[in-house]
Formats: sequence, C-alpha cells, structure tokens
Amino acid sequence: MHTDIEKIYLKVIQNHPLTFEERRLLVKKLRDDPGLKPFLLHLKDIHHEATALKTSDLDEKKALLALKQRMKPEPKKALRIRPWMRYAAILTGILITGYSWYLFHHTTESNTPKITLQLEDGSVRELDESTVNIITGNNGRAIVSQKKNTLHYDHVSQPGETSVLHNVLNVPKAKTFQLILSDGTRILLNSGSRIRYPEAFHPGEKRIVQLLDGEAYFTVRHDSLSPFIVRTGKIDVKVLGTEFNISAYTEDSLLHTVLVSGGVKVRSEGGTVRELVPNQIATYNRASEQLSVQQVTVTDHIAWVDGKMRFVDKPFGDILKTIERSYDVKIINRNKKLQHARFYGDFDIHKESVNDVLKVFATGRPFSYERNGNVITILPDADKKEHETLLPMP
Amino acid sequence: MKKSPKDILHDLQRERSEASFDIFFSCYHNHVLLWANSIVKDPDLAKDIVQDFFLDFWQHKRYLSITTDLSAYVYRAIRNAALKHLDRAKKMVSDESLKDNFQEFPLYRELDRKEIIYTAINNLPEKCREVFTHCCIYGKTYGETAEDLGVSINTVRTHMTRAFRLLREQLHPSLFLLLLTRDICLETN
Repeated sequence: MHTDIEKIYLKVIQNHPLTFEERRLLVKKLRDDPGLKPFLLHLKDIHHEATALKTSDLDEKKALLALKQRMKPEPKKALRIRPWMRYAAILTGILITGYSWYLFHHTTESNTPKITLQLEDGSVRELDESTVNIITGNNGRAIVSQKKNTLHYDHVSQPGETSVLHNVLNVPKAKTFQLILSDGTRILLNSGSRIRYPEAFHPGEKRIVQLLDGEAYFTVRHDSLSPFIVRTGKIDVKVLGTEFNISAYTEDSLLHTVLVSGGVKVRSEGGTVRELVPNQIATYNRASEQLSVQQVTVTDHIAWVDGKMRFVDKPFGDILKTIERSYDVKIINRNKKLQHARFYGDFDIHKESVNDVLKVFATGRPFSYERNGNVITILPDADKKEHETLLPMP
Repeated sequence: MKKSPKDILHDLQRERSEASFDIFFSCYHNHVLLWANSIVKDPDLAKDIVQDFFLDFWQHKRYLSITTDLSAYVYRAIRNAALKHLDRAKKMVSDESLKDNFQEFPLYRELDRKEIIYTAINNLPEKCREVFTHCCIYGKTYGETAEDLGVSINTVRTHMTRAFRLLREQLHPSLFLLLLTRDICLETN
C-alpha cells in the first residue's frame, strides 16, 4: 500500500518515531528537495512552541468576548467612601496580617531545598534564584556575582598568586543552575548535582573541576595551554575546548559522557582511555568497571539543557529516576512488570507536571498510582489482570 | 464560507462595523497568538500582546491606514509589539557583563524566517489552513482532526497534501535556503 508522505512529515513534526520504511522514504525526499529539511524543522519548532498554549487560549470566541469587555468605555464614577468600605478595609488589614503570619511560620517549617554555595572557609550561602547579588566571603572579599540562576566568576588570578580557593555548588532536585567560571567556561548543572571548582584558574595550569554528583553540560573555553579536566571519581574527562555532557549520578549504575563538538579523552579509574569524536557516548559501568563507546543521537542525551526529558527506548526504572530528580518527588514502583518495560517520550519539565507525565506513560501501559505529598506509589496490576497473564496461551 | 484577507480588509474599511471586526478577529486571533508566543515564549504575555493589538486596532481604526496586504501588516505589528516587550524585559535584568551580544543578530534572522512561514500558513485557503493547523501545529492525528472539523479522513488527507504543496511552492527553495544559516540536523540516520 502506498504511504502518504505527508503522514511521515507529520510524524517528524510531532516527533514520533518512524519505521524503517518511512525513514527510507523521508531520506529519499530530503535528498531530492534541499529546502524540505529546514522547512520541516521549522514546522517542528512551530508545533513545539504551540504546545505551550492551552486549548482554551486558542478559543477565538472566548478571546473575542474578553476583548469586548475591554472595548466598552469604562464607566466613570467618583469614588465615595461608603460605611461598609471602612469595615472592608479593616478586614483586609486583618487578613493580610494573618496571612503574612501564616506564611512566615509555614515557609520556615516546610524548608524546601535551596541552591547552596559552600566557600573555601566552609561557610555556606543560600542562593535565591530571583535576585541579583554579589556573594562575599567572611572577610568581605567579593567572590562571585549572581544574576538569577547564574553564578559568574570573573576574578583573574594575578601572576605570582599561588593559592587556589575552591567553591562547591549544590543544586537540589527540581532545579537547574548555570555557572560561568573565571576562564569563561559555561557549566549548566542539572537537578540533584554537586560540583567543586576553583574561584579562579591560574594561566598555564590545568583547569580541574570535580563533578561530585549529578549531571552537567559543559561549554569549555578553548585554551590549548591549559587542558580542562572533569573528575567524577570513576572517570576523568580531559578536553581542550568543546561541548559535552556528563551524567554521573552516584545513584546510577552507568556514567555517561556525550560529546557534542570538539574532542575529549575519557579515562576510567582502571586506566582505560577512550577518545571520543562528536556524536559518540562513553559509558562507564560501575559494576563491571568497563568503559565502552557508541554512536548516538546527541540531542536525545542533552534534552535536559532545554528543560526537557527525552526518553528513547529507556527502561521504566531509569525513567522514574529522572522524573524523581526533575520534580523532586519519590516514586515507589510496586508494578514489577513495568520496571523493565521500555518507553519513548518527550516532556517539558516546566510545562508538564509530574501527573501529566505519569498519565502519558499510563496511556501506553495502563497502571494506576497514588500520590501522598511528595511520594508517589505505582500500584501493582489488579489481581485479575495478573492472573490472566499467567494463563497458558491457547 | 469564510473570506479572504482582501475581503476582510475591504469590509472593515467600507463598513467600519463591529461585525466586520469580529470576522477579522476570528480569522486572525489564533494564528497571531501562536506567532506572538513564538517570539516571547510566554503564553500569558503573548495573550496580552494579542489582546492589546486587537484593542488598539479597533479603537484607533488602524484598518483605515492599511494599503498593503492585511496579513503582512498584522504579523509585523504583532512582531514589533512582542519585541518591544522583550526589550523591556531585557532592560529590567540588564547586566552588561552577562549579555550575549552576538545573539541579537541571529534572533532577527530567525524571526524573519519564522514570520515567512507563519504568514504562509495563514495565507492557505481556509479549510486547508484549518486542517494543516490542527495536524501540524496543534499536533492532532488525522482522525482527531476529521472529528474536530466534521469532515472525513479522506478530506483531511487531501487538504494535507494540498497544504504541503502550496507551502512548499510559496516558500520558494532558493529564498528559503538563503535565509537558512542555522546549523541543524534532522535525525534521519
């Protein structure tokens, strides 16, 4: 049967996986028509941007009614203070005082995890992402400027300066944070990450940072005299100037290094060294202590940089860990059959709630779950279903 | 039967009636909302920009001064309003040391390219545009689109073929390639 080429385009735009046959047809079309690829990519963008809008936003009748309200000239009335207004004012005052009291006592109790910066002297500063701030040491020395969710180190080390002062940045679950080091290297940290680095690099010396836990996307400033090294305990990644992503969560059994551009060398604890070219991934297995290299689609591994979660043929167990970190929830899976089921999926962390995400998975493989505060429990299959699958096939 | 942009403008200019404005509004609202959101990447802000535009358009009788293509006017007006908002937002958090100066230029190129596509989609024949918007922008399947619009799946299929053909014709390859500078890769291998 003849397949509609438009259906294949639509799949590309909606980011659905293609079959081999569809892929073959698409590649042929792309080859015949060089303008097609940018065209489809833009449509993909447009579709993606549209997902931010709700169906109700795109209801032109509703929007027109809202506009008509504003089109009417506003009635001009002099404001007279009526007796009831006085009471209303007093009541408002009471409510505001009461609410601020409530907020004051409850926010201090609920204690959501904060982004923290530990200075060389051991003191810890909490970072509020909504502010612009200069962080100073206990002696009043300016260390780093903070602008919302970015820390920018611009201290240039003086010749003859020998001491190296380190800071440790701690990014809790459900947050991301950006660092700009003194050499201009940019590091985007994913949720649940900890990184240690010097306040300033000395020219001509190795630039070393330690990814103590978590995942980070590095855009390293090129400097052929000072190699840049990322240490994770199990693997070291040495670079000259390049973009790459390292995922080294202590709770994960696999550590990944994905190279986007440039070149890196990955050295495992055991001394194995592998060199990566762009679009390759080096995977270190904590259990077997083996380091292997494979070809990959880079964008699948760095979706988090744009605030997204992308799963390509991933076991449900791994997916849950990513969801836990992205939304700061605890998920207990009591549905054993689901644990190793594999899924594809694309989600926007800022636009979709954890409920939205789980609902999508539940449409693929029905399951139900309960939520209790930050703990989500995926329930075992109903007994009947469990029983049915045990029956021998006819 | 819906009207072409030319007819809509003509009616506005001749009748100056609220009814002709309503038709104009229904025809453009969703598409310019998508366009505004594409620039500011903030649905609530985009909604404000679009409402302000329509309000201003009506209260100041902007339609009287339009001599060219209505769609081109509307898309450019929304773009200018959206960029004004972005500038204002940028000033509020402005910090020279963290500003990426090199980003300004590609932003405009990117917008030029997108504006061409958004306008081209908007200029599709009415039914064709609706089908294409449902499938390719709202992300619906052929089946869902057929149900939403009350047509058969075969009609959806025909409109999609036509929409892609018309768009590819309108977005002439040489013009489009000229505008293309972004280094992008489509996952085909």
